[in-house]
Amino acid sequence: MSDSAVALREENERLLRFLYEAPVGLMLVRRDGSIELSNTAVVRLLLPIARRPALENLFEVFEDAAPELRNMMFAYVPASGLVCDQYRILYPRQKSSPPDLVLTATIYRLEPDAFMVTLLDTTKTVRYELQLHRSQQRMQALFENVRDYAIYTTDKAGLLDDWNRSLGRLTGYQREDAIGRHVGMLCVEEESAPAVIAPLLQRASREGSAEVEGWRVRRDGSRFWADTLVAPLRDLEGEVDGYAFITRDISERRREEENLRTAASTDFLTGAYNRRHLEAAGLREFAAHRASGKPLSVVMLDIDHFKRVNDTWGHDAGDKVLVALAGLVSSAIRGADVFARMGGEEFVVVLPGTPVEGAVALAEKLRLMIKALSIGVEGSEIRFTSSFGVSAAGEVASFESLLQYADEALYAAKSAGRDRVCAYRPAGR
Amino acid sequence: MNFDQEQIFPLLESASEAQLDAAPFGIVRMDKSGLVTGYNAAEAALSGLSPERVIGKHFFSDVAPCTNNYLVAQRVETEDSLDAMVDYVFTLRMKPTPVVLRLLKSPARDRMYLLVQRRMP
Repeated sequence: MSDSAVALREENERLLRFLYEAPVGLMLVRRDGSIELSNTAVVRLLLPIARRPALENLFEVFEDAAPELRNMMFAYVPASGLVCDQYRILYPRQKSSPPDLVLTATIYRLEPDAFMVTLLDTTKTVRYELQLHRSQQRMQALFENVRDYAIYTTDKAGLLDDWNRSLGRLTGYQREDAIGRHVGMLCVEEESAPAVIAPLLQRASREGSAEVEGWRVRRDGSRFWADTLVAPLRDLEGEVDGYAFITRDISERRREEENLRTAASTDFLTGAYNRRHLEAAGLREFAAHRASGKPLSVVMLDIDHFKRVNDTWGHDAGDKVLVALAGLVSSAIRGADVFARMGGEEFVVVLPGTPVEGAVALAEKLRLMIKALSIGVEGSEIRFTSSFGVSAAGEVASFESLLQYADEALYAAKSAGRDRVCAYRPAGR
Repeated sequence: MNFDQEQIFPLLESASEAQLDAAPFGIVRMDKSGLVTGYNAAEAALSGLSPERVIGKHFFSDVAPCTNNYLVAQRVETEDSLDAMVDYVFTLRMKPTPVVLRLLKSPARDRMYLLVQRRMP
């Protein structure tokens, strides 16, 4: 053999081995499916699934798993070109998951009667995809179906990068309102968002999670009291590249807590504060008066001859009278004033920042309003009057004394004939 | 020696290289780890590989990777005692060629054999 013939044979063998040992299945297939050429990877991949130990015809090998290959090749009109690109063939064909084997076939027509077929074992990839898909489905089911929660994510800068129904349900925002906007849009004031959100995200990154409670705004402007948990999302290198948020609407719980607080501090019948709250509030206001020197006064009032109302009309009528009076006083005082029922038919109004003259004026106003009040009971009208005692903090030692002086003034008003206002005059003045 | 002869294991073990080369079917001799220690003339002719290229290499992963699946390699690796015929296809010079493989392994012996004979499709 000549040197060149030897060289050619060696080159030929090198090429052959190159194709032969390629880790991808390589085949040359005729239009009728007969396998003209194939490398070792084809045997390794196809023999275990072939019906009989022969690799003569591709259509026969794929008769169960991918009978459509025959049609795909038959129906392909151009004389050359891509018949299919990365076409997946699953074993078993039924959609059992995960599949035992997944082959990915690419078929290229070289000439009218010659197709190059490549086969790749993509079982692992597809199983991984399935796993990923399933966990995504699970997350999505959670995202879409949780009630009273919103689960959402942002990028590193806190911009919303995903929208889901839970977010829509809780906040009223639609996809187009939310994507790309700063997560602070869920805060009450847009301008306060950076001050709230940035430290929150920093804390979450540092400590693994962070929680914040506060008002949030819905798209329609209505507010809800929310509890938000933030956790950092990390990339493959472990760097924070986003955040996951879980926001809960806990308005209802907060309302219940408030109701409980209210129940502990109010008089059940009239809705005025109870004596316990009066004492606490009184001490606070007295301390504030001491600290600031601002005036502080107290009006104590008592319904005249209330016993007669009860005796004549019954206790239900008496209750009606108490409720009506409480409603009237509540509507006549300022937000800072503290209105409380001492017990029985006796009430107190604590007036921070009001000097004795103002307190007397208020008492006089209330006296006239109460006198003008008429309450319908069983077709009759109940009318009644009340007496008032006023005291003011000057040289008074304590809130308790202030109440006591108002009580003395009230006694004086009663003694003087009722339906009047008396102010306490310290002895020697 | 015939391909399907009973009690072929002792014959293969005692055969000289010339006797192996005279056999009309392919004979691959391996150690228990699958490294090729003998490759007869018929097998060399069938595969187009010279013994020098093959000896010392791992048969299932380097020489004939097409057998590296549960039909052949896994059986040889996992079964202690084996005398089995397996219909298979070799792609000799890229041409799918039906063959019969005979796998021989015994716990009493240090060597394993893989015999190859062409068959009609």
